Formats: sequence, C-alpha cells, structure tokens
Amino acid sequence: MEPIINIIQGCARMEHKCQKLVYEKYFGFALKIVFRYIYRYEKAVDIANDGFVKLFRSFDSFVSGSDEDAEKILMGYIKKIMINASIDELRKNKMTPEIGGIPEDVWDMNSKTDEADQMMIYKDLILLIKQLPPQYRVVFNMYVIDGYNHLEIAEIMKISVGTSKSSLSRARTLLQKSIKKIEDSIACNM
Amino acid sequence: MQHVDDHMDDLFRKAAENYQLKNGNNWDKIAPYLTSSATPTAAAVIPKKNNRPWLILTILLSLSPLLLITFNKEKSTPEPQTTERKNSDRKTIDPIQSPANGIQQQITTGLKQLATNNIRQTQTKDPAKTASTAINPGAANNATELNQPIADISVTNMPVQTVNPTNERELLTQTKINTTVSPWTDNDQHSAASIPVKKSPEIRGLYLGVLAGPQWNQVEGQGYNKTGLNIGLIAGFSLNKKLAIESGISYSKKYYYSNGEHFHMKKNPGTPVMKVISLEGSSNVIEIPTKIKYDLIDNKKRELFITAGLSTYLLTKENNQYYALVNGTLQNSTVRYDNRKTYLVGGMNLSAGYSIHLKKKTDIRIEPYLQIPFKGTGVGSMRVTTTGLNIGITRSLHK
Repeated sequence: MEPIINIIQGCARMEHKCQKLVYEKYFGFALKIVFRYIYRYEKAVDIANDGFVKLFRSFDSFVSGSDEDAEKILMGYIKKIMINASIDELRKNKMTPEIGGIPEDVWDMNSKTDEADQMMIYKDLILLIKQLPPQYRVVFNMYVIDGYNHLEIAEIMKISVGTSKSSLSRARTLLQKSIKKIEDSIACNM
Repeated sequence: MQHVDDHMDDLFRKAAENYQLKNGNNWDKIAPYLTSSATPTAAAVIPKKNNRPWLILTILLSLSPLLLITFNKEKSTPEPQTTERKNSDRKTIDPIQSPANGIQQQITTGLKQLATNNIRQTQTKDPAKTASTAINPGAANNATELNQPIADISVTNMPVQTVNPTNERELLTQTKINTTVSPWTDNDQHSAASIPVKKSPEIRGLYLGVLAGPQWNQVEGQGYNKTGLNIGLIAGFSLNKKLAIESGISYSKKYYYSNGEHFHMKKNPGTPVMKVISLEGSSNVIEIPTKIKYDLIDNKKRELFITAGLSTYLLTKENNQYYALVNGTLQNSTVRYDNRKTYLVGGMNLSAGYSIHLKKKTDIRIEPYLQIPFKGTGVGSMRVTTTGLNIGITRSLHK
C-alpha cells in the first residue's frame, strides 16, 4: 500500500488513480458521518459524493502535516467537509423533518455473532438520533459526537450560542424520553 | 443529571463510531465531475438568510414619508387616505403527514436486549477519535442585521432677525422659515431684537401612524424561538398634554417552541391519539389593542411615555411541527390549521417608549413592549408571552 502522504500529493495533482484510492478507502467513514445528519440513506450517499467532489477540488489548499499525522488530518478534513455539506443540504430544505422508516438493508449487520447484539444497539441509537428534529440532530451530532463547541456550532449554523445550547438540551431531553419510553413499554410487555 | 448526560453521550459516541452501514460508494458516479465544475447533485447552496421581514420593515419605514405627504395637502375635503399593507410571508406547508411505519419496531428489537439483559454502557470512556485538530469552521458570516439608526434629527432653530431700533416705524418682512412677524403699528412698541412667539398648538386631537418591529415569543418561559414580526397602524386621540388613548390594528407573525406538557389539544373522536413530546410552530395573528398613553416627560423636542392596555386577538393561521407519539409510534409531522378564532381581551399590553418630535406634528417613536396573555391561544391553548420593539411614525391631524 502506497504511503498516504504520496496519495495525498497525487490528489493535489488531480491524479484520478489517487483520488479513487482516497474515495474507496474513506467513503464508508464519510457516509457514516453524513448518515447521522441526513435522514435518507440515498440522500446521504449523494451528499457524501458531493463532499468528495468538493474535497478533491480543494486538495491544493490541504495541508497534510507530517507523515504520521497525515491520515489523521485527512480524516479530520473529510469530516469537516461532510458535516458542512450535510448542514448545507438541511438548510436548503429549511430544516424540514422527514418521516418514514429506514430500510433494513442500509445497515451492514454482517458481524460476528457475539457482536451482533451490540451492533443492533448501536443501530437503534443512531436511529434515535435520526429521529430528532433536524436542528436538534445537527447540534447534538456536532457537539456530542463530532466535538465542536457551541461557539463553533453557532458560527457554522448561523445561530446564536444560546440557541445552540438550548437545542442540545432539548435533544438530550428527547433522547432520554425516547429511551425511557421504550424501556417502559418493554417492561410492560415482559 | 450531569453524569446521566455524560453516560448517554458516551453511549451515542460509541454507537456513532461502531455502527455499520452498507457501503454505497460508486467511483464511476463522481469521476466525471472531477474534471468539470458541476457536482453530482444540485449544488448545495446555502440559502440566504430570510431577510424578508427586515426588507418589509425597511420598505415600510422608507415609504412612511410618502404616507405623510398626504397629510400636508390642504384641501376643503380631506382626501381618502390609503395605506399599504404588505402581504404576510406565506409559506406553503405540507399538510399532515401519514404516520411513520416500522421505525418504532426497529428500535424496539435492538433496545429490548439492552433492557432485558441490563446492558449498561459502563465501559470506560474511549477518547473520541475526532481528529478535529485540523478542523477549521467555515468563514464566519456575521448575520446581516437591520441596523437602522434613528435619523439624527435636530430641530432647526429659527434664526432671529435682528433689527436696528429706530424711532420710526419699521415693517418686518416675513422670514424664510415662515416666521410671520406682525408689522409695527403706531401704538405698538416692540423690542427690536425679539420676535413674537407663536401660541402653542392645540393639544387635543387625533393622530395616526404606522409602526413595525421585531418580536420574540415564548410559551410558559421555555425560551424564544425565531424572531417574529409585527406591522401595524395606530390611531390615537390626545385628551390633554399628558394623556392619550390609542388603538389600531396590527399583523404579527409569531414563532414559538414548547414541550408537550404545555400543549393541550382537544381530543377529537376518530383521530389518532397523539402525545406531543415537543413542538415548534408559528402563527399569524391580527391584534387590536386599546391602551392609555401617559407622557412622563414631554418637552418640545422629545417625550418619554408609558402605555398600558388590553388587546383582542384574531388568530388566522397556525402551523405546528410536532415531535409526537402517534398510536405508540414516534414521528415528526407538520400540520397547518386555517381555522380563524377570536380571543376577546386576550391579553394585556405594557410598554414604555421614547418619541422625538420631528417637524411640526410628526413624531418618530421607539417603543419596547410586553404582551401578557390572559388565556391560551391556538389549537394547543398555549399561553404565549410576547416581547418586542416597535418603531413608528405618527402624525397629528389636529392643528
């Protein structure tokens, strides 16, 4: 496998071979990020593809740092682009929520048997995040999972810091209620 | 509470890191776009911030001098006055969505194991590999704000015409600023340096005006949502130098948020049972206030006043976005209600304001206000408290 730093330099020179390597290696990583923000799987794939096009067009301004850090920095850069692309899409649709189920075949459950239970739990937790109203979903993802602070969230989403904090608080309340309601209903049925 | 939040956050971080998704990559789909400027999907354009309310306000304030021109015309019969009213920003909202299917069952299957096996995420917290050190948020664009400073108006002092005293009669001609000076007569001896002061104008009388401004609404102290808008006409009658009665009509676009516990909707038979967890909404309201205005300080140039009164509301449209349990299924749905409802004496208005006297008979005022509801309004009977800021121009019709 060619060193990542060479691949990055190839991408900066717009070499398709290197771009394809980056795309195939990191598409799954990017899609998982976008899918936390975008409700529909097909739309998430489109947004991820959009994100990669933007990534490759802006590679000339990408600073890879040292060889050891190159991959980490690249993944951070991909994450930033994917999050921004997701937020742009949600804002284009005026943060309108979507409803409907998520098809089972979008999940890759081909794990070892002893991890299958854990995978199901992770899948269900992601579904709970996806069910949040879009603004709460974005703030929760950015703050809790992607590590942004409220100032950065406010700047990117063009909202106030107060709105960001209240959105996070409401998202947590909704998630706690959802988990509790499901546990209560399970307890009643048992 | 904090440790519960941290525990839940750890749970979701772990889920985000480890959940598995089908890989939908397709290099052939994006390869053609790497040599052109197009993108695979429609370009994600950041929509412009909705500046329409501010645009309406700007247009209204800039057109207000035109409205006032009609008051300047001196005719035997008054011209019919026309006022411009901007249409509300009517958005087409999707009608009620059909209930979600299946997602609740998907969640139950997996979390059942979590509950029945008493699985709790007590593992040590793994540092989230966010690799966020290289993340630089996009260039900040400061939200555009309507920044309309009140024009720095200063009353032009009328120049004093000085006349050299003589023993002979002199006629003082009319000045350029319409200061009419009585000609001296044989029997009058006036000081040459003074100009007769006009009588103060009559205080009682009618005045009309327009006003507009932002407002913020909250339900039971749960915090504000988006900024709303209020536009209207006012009509007042000055009883004396200090006291006036005001009324008018205004249109408001209100945005609010609420938890389900403050939302009380009548259950209609035959409709799905819905337990609202939270909602965000907006409503269009026509308000008819009646209030007393009292001038605390009033001099020739400016005045400080307070008002108090009651308002009647006509709710014309309501649009709510629900996050609810419908027949046991969690779902988001948006519902629009077009039923009109009137709330007589629906709330109380309090305000304090500052007014600057422009040319004779014209005032510009800035007036922060508070509206306290007496009763709940809308399909959820929610008590919406409003704070806002009105900027207006009034014109006296009396002499």
